[in-house]
Amino acid sequence: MTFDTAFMLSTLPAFLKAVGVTLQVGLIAIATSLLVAVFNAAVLVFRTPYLWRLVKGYVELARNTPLLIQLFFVYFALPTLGLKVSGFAAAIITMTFMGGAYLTEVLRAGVEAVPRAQLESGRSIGLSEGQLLRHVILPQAGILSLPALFANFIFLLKETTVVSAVAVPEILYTTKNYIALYYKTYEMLAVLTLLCVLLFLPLSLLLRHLERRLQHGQFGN
Amino acid sequence: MSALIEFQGFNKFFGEHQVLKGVDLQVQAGEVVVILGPSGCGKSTLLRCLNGLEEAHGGSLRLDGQDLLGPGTDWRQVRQRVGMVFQSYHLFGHMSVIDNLLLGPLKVQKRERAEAQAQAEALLARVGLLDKRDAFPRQLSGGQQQRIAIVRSLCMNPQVMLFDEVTAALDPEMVKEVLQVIQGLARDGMTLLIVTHEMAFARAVADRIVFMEAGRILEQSDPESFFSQPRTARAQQFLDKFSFVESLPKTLHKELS
Amino acid sequence: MASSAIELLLVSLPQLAKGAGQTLAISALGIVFATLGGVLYGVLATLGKRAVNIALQIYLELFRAIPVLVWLYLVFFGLPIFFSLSIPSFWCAVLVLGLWGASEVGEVVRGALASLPRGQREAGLSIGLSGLQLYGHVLLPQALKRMTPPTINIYTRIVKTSSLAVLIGVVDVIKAGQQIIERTYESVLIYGVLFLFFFFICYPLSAASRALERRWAHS
Repeated sequence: MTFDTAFMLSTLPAFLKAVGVTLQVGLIAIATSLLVAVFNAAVLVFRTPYLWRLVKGYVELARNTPLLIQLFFVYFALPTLGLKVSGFAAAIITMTFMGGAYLTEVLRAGVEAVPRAQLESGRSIGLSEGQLLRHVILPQAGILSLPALFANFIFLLKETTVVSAVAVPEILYTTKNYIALYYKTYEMLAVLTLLCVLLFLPLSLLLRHLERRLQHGQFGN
Repeated sequence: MSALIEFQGFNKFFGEHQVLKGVDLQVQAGEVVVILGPSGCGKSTLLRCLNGLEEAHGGSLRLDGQDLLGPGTDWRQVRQRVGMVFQSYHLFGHMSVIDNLLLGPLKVQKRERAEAQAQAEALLARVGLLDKRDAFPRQLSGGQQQRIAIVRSLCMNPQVMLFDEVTAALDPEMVKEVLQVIQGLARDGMTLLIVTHEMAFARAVADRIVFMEAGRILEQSDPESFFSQPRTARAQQFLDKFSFVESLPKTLHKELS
Repeated sequence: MASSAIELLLVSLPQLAKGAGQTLAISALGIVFATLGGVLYGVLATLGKRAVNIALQIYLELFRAIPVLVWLYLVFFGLPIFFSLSIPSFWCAVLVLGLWGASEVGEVVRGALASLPRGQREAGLSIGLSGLQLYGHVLLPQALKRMTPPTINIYTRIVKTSSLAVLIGVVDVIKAGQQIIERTYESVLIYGVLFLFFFFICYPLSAASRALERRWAHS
């Protein structure tokens, strides 16, 4: 078995572009998910009437169904209701739908992990509820949920491979395309594996480092 | 007569740090040896080596004439003959008292349940805890858990029992109940190797005191001479620290002010 | 519309059920292999053997760095080429879910075992238990409470991820749904049903995981 390295090199520009698409979809989805999550987490933490139940329901629905079904629903079923979306838009919408739910849980758990005694001691020195949130709860909750947030960012970035199913030209779609066109299966699988390792392994190792550093949510070192 | 336990030129390292330096120690069958010494002197490590929980790095160690540091040593077999009781009891939290006691006899020694259970219950009765037979460890006080841990080792019918600071984690009022059990074993003629900081107990129970510092044995003698006139300055300093508390003047606060 | 929708569902039920059977079989087998492999991983990772730990670390990082869908393609396209071994896509899916799940469950088991006080291991050894007895009677039973809730969570992820099998050609519940849509164009209805199908499997599992976690939080 020999590798057609010349062919592999010739696909390099296309794969570079595909990496761009992967990062684009992933980073946009992370940003929009985070927006959704901050809003939702605030609703959950303050128990906003009615809205609170709605958010709970959304989180459960999104967390307990596969991304692929959500994606197919948006891409294939919504158009019959008159909502036609491109593959790219469907990808962003579904990944935000799912990612928003995951990140909501992370942020809520982070706030809940701040010890009760912190709130009490904050109140005891006369802080208002708003000041309490800004100066006591959020900074600590942020640190506490940092590893989980980062883990979910990486998870979302990896999940972008699923949107290859609706023809978004990210790394996996590009691989499949080349395999279908030129039958260079093992060269392309090798490139795909290499790309995954280069893209995701450093992030994964960084996460492990972050987890160790923040294991006890400590400050100052 | 050869000794039951025999350390010779025994060495042990933690990384670069040598924690046991050429230790020579012989214990005869039926003898009660108490090892004293400041924290970090290696006394606990010495016990743990005898149970195979720590690896030795040189010298020799014999149990009843059998070389334990050779490659063919079956530590599972050795451990059935050498019982060990730990500072924090380490009862198995998911098992009732009786199941804790029977695990070794049934699974390791493959003994008959009826016979092992009868022995376990007799030993429980002896330490005054037969009524806790079906309790779980978390329902028991520290002193009760430690007595159960002693019985757990005794159920294996060991030749030797090792006690590693077994009262150090206990509230003062529970120390006595545990020490009484150990004293009972000593009276029965069991071979005991004890690491403790309870000086009065050491003096009462020991046939011989071994004083260690910085990984070496500095002196060995009978308890009366060790406590009344230790031969080394280090031992004298060590004993002074303990007698300091006992001899505190009642009006200390006035002297300080 | 409503009555015709019910009619359509009734007519398509056998086809959907057959696909659902494949989906459930892949998930169930994946869960079984993930659990067995995960326990093995957890035990090996707590033996304190350096070489073993390095091997497990590489295995773990490979499954963390490479997305499951990519693994599916690697196995599906790669096994025939690299090992001249052609296995049906159904078993490709089971294999990948099992190996991926084992790495995830394994980390949970390792963490639960590592959280036990060191003395439990030493106390077990000191009464002469063998390694197998030590894990079987002392360590794993005590780690059970800590590892069960997160492991159930991984099961829901395995069920959700089993949906990807359709992309390597397994005729699962999604494929069955798509075939029905090709005939009837009822995509909203069918995808809605598929959505609920997964939800009604996964929601009870995650609810159970949460309930157990709460109940065991203080013991």
